[in-house]
Amino acid sequence: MFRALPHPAATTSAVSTTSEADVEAAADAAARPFTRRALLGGSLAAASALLLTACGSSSDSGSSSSSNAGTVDSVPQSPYKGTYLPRTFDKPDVTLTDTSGQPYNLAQRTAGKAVMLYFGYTHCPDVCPTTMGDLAVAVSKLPKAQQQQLDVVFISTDPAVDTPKVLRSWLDAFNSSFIGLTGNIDTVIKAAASVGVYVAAPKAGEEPVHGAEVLGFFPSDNKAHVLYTSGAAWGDYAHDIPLLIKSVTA
Amino acid sequence: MRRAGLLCAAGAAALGIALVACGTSASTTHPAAAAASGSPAKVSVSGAYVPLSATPDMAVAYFDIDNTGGSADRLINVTSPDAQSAEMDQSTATSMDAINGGVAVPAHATTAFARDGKHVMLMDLSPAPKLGGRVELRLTFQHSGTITVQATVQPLTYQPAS
Repeated sequence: MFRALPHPAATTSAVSTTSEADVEAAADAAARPFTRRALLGGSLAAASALLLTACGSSSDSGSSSSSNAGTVDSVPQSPYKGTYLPRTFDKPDVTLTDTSGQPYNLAQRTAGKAVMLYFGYTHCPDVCPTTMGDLAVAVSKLPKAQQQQLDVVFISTDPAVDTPKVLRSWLDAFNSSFIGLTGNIDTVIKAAASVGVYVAAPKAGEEPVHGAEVLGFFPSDNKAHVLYTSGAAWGDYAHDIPLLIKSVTA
Repeated sequence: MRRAGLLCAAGAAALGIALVACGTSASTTHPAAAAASGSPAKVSVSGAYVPLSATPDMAVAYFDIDNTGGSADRLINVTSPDAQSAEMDQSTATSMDAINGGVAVPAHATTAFARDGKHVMLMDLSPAPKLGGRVELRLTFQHSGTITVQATVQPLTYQPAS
């Protein structure tokens, strides 16, 4: 159940060198049992720091395009569409560079606000823009007052490409109030690891790595309480953000 | 398919009953089983779209491939005269991989190229896509030849009704 997230190099070779049938079967096998695995993960991993890794690995060969199985409540009584975490994560106390080129301390600057945090890269055709697009649509459905109680933060996992200017331009396509941060990749990797998100430094000739999950932080304690995988739909975010803003516990 | 087997195996072990149901669910979508019914693949492509991209030199195309025939086919490659390159990719939890060897298109089934799954990455579209415009895609199949479709350019956050 608590398989470590495979190293991306291993994933690459597994997918690209096997037959299509195997790829399909692997994707199918990996994506579909997610609901069950998430359920078990949620109930069994209560004290385990491995929870996020376990959740990420469950769709490591691709996620189902049509289902939002990843967002099925892992705790039946949770009011959230996302996965309510059995343990919390502190918001990373990390200083990176914002899209105006200024230092930005995540914990200090977003204190007292609900935060949706995602690690990704702009030169990404599918998952990164669809994730940010879903967040953008969800935010656009909220009343202005609620929008102002939320910060959506995108931290680049490809900082050599994602300069402050590139980040700003990319994020503006979704929502001009979204916060973009870039900086030293080792700092980013450490910050991601501190909230259980696996990312890695880009390697020449290989596709960069994005986080497998979006984390939702409460304004009350500035801790991550809810998790979303790439299967989440914008409606899940739209449903959950007002709860996050009120720091509603499960 | 494999997942049906897995889950069923677990279910059967626990309950001792589910085997018949499992066999049925697996065979309905299994290419080999479908091919046995004989008629040739009958492939069409629908719902093709390209969302406006937030990245200047990159876009992505999604579509459904319907095979109403009795035999499986295989999508060998996708090209676009409007793009410098087109590549079939499979998104993973934390990245994506190029699809080598094509994509199986089982009989009596829809094969989706959709968000967070299979997609076609288009590099350097020219002219740059504009809302309401079209991007031509040419899908070449092992048995059904090349099917040309005009993908519609949609808003960045567009999602097809499912």
